Amino acid sequence: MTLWLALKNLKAKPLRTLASVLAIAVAVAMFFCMFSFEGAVYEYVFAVETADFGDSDLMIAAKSGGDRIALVQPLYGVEGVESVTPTVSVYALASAGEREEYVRLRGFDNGAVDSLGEVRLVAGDLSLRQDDVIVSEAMAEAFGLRAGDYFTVRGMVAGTKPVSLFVRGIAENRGAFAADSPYNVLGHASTVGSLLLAGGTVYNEIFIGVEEGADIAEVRERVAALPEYASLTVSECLDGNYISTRARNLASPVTIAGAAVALLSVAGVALVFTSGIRDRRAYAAKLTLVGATKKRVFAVFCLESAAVALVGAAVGAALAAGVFALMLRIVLSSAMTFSVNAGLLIASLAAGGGAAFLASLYPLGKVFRATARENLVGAPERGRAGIVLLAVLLVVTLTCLLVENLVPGAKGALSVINLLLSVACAAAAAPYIARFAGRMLARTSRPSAIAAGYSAARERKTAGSAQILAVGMTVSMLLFTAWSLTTSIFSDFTAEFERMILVTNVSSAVDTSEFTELDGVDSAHLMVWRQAELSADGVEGRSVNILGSADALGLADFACLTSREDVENALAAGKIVLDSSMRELYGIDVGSVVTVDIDGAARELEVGALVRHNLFNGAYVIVSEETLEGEYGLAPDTVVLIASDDAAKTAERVRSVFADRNYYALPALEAYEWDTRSLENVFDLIAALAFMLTALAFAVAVAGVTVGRAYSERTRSTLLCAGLSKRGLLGAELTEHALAAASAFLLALPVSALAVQCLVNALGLFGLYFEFMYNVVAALAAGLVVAAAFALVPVVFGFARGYDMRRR
Amino acid sequence: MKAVFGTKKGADAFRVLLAAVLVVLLLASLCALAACNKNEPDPAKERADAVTRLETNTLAALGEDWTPDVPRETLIRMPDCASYLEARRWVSLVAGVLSRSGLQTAKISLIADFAASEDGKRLLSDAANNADAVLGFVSAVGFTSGDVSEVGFELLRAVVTDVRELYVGLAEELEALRGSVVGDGQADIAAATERAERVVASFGDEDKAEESIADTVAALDEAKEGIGTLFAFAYDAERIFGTGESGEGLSSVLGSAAGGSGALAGVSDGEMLTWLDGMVSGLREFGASMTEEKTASVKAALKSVRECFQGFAQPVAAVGDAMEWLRVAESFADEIPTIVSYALSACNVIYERNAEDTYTYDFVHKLRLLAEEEDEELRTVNTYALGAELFLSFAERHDAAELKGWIRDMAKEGTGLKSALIYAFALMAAQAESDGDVEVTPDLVSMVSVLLTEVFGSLMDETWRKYVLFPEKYENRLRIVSGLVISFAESVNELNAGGVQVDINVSSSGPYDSEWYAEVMRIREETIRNAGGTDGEALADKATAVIGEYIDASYARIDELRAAASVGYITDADSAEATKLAEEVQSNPIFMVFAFFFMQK
Repeated sequence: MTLWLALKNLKAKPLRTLASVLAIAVAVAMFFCMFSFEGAVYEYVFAVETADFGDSDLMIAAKSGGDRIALVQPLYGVEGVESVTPTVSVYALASAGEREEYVRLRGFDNGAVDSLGEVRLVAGDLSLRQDDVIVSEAMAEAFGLRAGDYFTVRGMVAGTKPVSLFVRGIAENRGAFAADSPYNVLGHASTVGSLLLAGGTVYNEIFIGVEEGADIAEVRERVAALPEYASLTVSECLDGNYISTRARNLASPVTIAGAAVALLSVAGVALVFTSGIRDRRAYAAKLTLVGATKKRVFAVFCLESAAVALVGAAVGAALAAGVFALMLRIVLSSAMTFSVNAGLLIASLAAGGGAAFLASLYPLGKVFRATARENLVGAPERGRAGIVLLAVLLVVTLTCLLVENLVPGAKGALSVINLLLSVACAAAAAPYIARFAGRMLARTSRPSAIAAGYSAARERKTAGSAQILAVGMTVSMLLFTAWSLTTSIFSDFTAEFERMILVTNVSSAVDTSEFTELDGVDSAHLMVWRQAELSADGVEGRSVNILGSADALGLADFACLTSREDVENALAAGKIVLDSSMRELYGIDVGSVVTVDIDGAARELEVGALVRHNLFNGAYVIVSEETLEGEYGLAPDTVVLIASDDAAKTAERVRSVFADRNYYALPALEAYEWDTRSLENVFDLIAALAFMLTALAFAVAVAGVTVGRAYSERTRSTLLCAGLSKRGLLGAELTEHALAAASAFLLALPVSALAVQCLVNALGLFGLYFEFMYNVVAALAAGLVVAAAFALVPVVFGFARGYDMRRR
Repeated sequence: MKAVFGTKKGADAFRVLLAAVLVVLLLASLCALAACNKNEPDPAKERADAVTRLETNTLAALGEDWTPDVPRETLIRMPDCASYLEARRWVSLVAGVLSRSGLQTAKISLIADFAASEDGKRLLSDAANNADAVLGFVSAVGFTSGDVSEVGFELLRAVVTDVRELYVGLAEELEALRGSVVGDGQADIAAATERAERVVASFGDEDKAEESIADTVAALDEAKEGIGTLFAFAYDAERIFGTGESGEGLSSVLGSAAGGSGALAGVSDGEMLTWLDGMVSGLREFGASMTEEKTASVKAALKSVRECFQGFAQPVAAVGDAMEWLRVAESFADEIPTIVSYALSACNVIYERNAEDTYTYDFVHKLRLLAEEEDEELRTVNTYALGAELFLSFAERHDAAELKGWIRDMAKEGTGLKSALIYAFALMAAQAESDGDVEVTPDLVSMVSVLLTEVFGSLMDETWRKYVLFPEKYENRLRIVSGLVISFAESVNELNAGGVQVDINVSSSGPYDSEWYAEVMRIREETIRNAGGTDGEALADKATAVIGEYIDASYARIDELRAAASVGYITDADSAEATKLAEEVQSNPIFMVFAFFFMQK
């Protein structure tokens, strides 16, 4: 009987039920995405970063100024070495038809191309003849190749004729082909090695698997101590911190944005149920009058909420995988595969469904506080709980904001809390502002304005709409502002990279004037360019990019916090230069001593100066060549060119001129293509979430209006009977809507600015630092569009068609 | 739905809209499916087309207006129709082998394209007469050692299986066409028909030939892996060390590695060692793969091939060159493990370490300097210095007794190229030792006999082949050469009076048929054995003793050699170090061998 009553109630209000189910479904789907996203991004980044070496633990490779090919035999006797996979890696110009492009050839012993990473074929097979190769789907598509076709590559030994390579198989862009920029071509070591040097097979990259239980660092030391590898780099393959940092950078904006969407969805559920509170009160009264106990009434409502929550959760679960897949494909790669973690899905169901269930029960407090008669007549509550709540929220929020901004080290988690508190304040204050505005409006002389004002002051629906819109507009403005903030920063960042060309595989003794003599090259800077880890008080193993030359100051427009001369002097004195975000995030300042670990060699270095630039989101260390040479024995291995015109054309020129030296010349934007593309996709996703959230907020507000209007039908009939024209009544509704929208807008604008500040501070949790920027235009546009759309709802939805003097 | 859309009309409109959307989606899906269903190419057809193109282009390269399907009316008017028909059959045989092989279809297309190019035409036109041109062609089209291994074996097998049938068919085809040919082609086809018939006849009895072919094919299949390995190694070695059309030449490779261009420009000593290690590893792998069992099967298979083709006057010179190469391979196949082991021992000098157990890089450093050396005298003296280091490294691991034992074992075989080589060295050693003429002892005469018989035998093979092809032109020569062999046999019989006599039952006057040829070859084989003396062991001992004296002398002067070679890279040809080294070279017999193998251009 109880269940029957609950289901009957749901059927009686189909629109409300549908709106609630959808809101819960969105909440569950978004919760699942937020729980799973960082893990999936980590897996993707892990797959890309380990594509070259798979499960290997150590790598022996050439270093600038040292030998370029390596012996293999001595490794077999080293304690702790379980497996040795020698490879030869050569960059070459591949030609097929009209297309010519730099590719990376990797040669494996006996053509065992899947010895380091999975090769999943879509065509062909893996039984390679000596000059057979496996290419990726992406390369096959770019070059128009099928299995059985061939293409030519130009060898690195001057004067050798082009070599034809035959496509034996085409593989998916995963596993060994996950990092396919430039395109990877896998084949026999004998064939690939012959492009480097005729005669015997040579290897220039050797991957070592360490025995289970052995200490990787110790084995690395043992191998590095062998005289055969004295002039080569022996390093650990997997830089866990680097992968974590990259994954976090990619996932954090989406995690935050998605969390906002998820919470809003839950809030939407609460608001939908709250907007139907009168109906519920009347129903409760009727049940009480026919003899139902409070317990029975509570059970009916609980069952109703549970049914909605369960259906919503089920729909959300069905949507979750699809939404998750869409997000991953937008942010990462179309080749990305993922698995649905059942545990996380259940957790999302529980979180979304449970939160929605509890939110839907929230209005019941009012039902059981009032008497049956009050519930029946719908007497408005006169309690002060709302004001008390608002006051408390304001005090807490203000206090937390002060602590966040004035107490050093308080940013981070507190910023997240303050962000939520700010939005909560807007939600709490909006009804009161709407009611106040309504009372003011009721004092005017225009009948429709008076009607609107009275309605706003007394009816729950206007306050509810203002509340929903305040939250929605605030978060929407926040997201749109964040989108414009991040894309403008990103555009500046890519603009700096646009003219940069990276030339690797160079000798430390290379004469940079050879490059500057080329057309299109403005300047050439020889430097060390590689990853490192920075540690200090408050930060452990932060992945950074080494810009190893005093010349690095000329690469981008670094803003010196003191003077350029101070920075140059600091570098000359053997100190390092960091980004000012390090001070903001971790308190590292001039004079601090930090530990910089490069390829396993950790040294303590003093910070000599701070500069500011968005390069690598501030994760860089500028250090002079002399310091690197003295402290780490590292010689420059990269020439960074600044092109005067088209970087792609200049890079092409560099490749042609130096074709016989195995240089790898690539525009910086291409070199970091997958990072920049992923970041672009992240920002686009934020934009998508912003649009989605705006639409969701609008939909919830309209749903609330639709539900709430049902209770004011009598009032409208009365007004019509009293002589108000249909036009006047429409005008009143328009005014009422505009009032709710305006109240929300006036609140949302300043609160969103505050929220942006909190968001910027919260990103510090992920090691990201941005200076506060608030795009007023974006916020205004977002807010005004929503406000205007909501204000016009009575016209668009044809409210006037339903006006009738007859009272139902 | 009515409640949601307010009116029945609205609900109906929604249903219609939904239906329309579904229809559009369905149509779009069908269109997408159709678009995706592209016509995929047929791999078998692509391959057949590539092979056809190869045949067409190859024939075009060999002869003007030659195509795979010249019509009869044109054929009978061609002045070289017989040559065309023979070439067409050979091209078809080779194309069939390529088609059935695992060679990539795209590579066959590339070969076809290359055959149509100027370079390809030049190489192809030389290929019939010159095995080096064949290797040059193969290298130019990018054959890998794996390709050579597979295709080389299959080609050998196809030649064994099909060549007799090829010429039987050719003879029939020529005979059928003979009456119809007009113009200049008449004389050509008449001669070609008779030649083809003689070639077939040179194969001997048909039943015996078929049995011999079957046995040979079985032996080849048994030795497939070994022969393939041998072919691959030989191809790689030829590319690295060869200097003709087919080879880059080690010095040019060293030069590019040590010189100022290329990805390894300015190579360091360490890199040079790593690169040499790569080559040494290849040699080591080759040696490890040629096990005793494998070399035995290779030897047996190649012997079977030789015997199967004994007397067969196959007309294509390049095939003849290949058969000659196979004969050398057959002779030395079972010595491969030992030769490789000795070579690796010598190459160990590359890995010399000092007291701190690090590489000294002495040898590689000198090798680099040698590669860059432009002065001829310095190049010569430093080459000897490096040769000395190689010998010293070898001598540390293999003493004189071991080396002499190996030579003795080879000499004891008594027949074939191996023993001939031993005796040749013994004779050279004896000549080098004496101030004037060598004292002619029966042992030396025996050695000379073996050598001469071996030489005469090779000459006999070549003359017989040419006689079969061009009887009028080579009849006189055949008579003279066969006369030499028979006369020599008679001389050996005289020397061997009282001992085993060779039965001489044919004369140099013929009649010249396959039975006569087989008899001449029998006489030659038995003469070689008898020329070694009734006690073949004694001759082997004698030859070994002669060579052994020089081995002992070489080993006795190791200290002096070490001192002379330890001076580092010589930069002044007139210096005392250079003079000392030159003296040591002259007095140490090992350099005679070194010069023989490494000092010729």
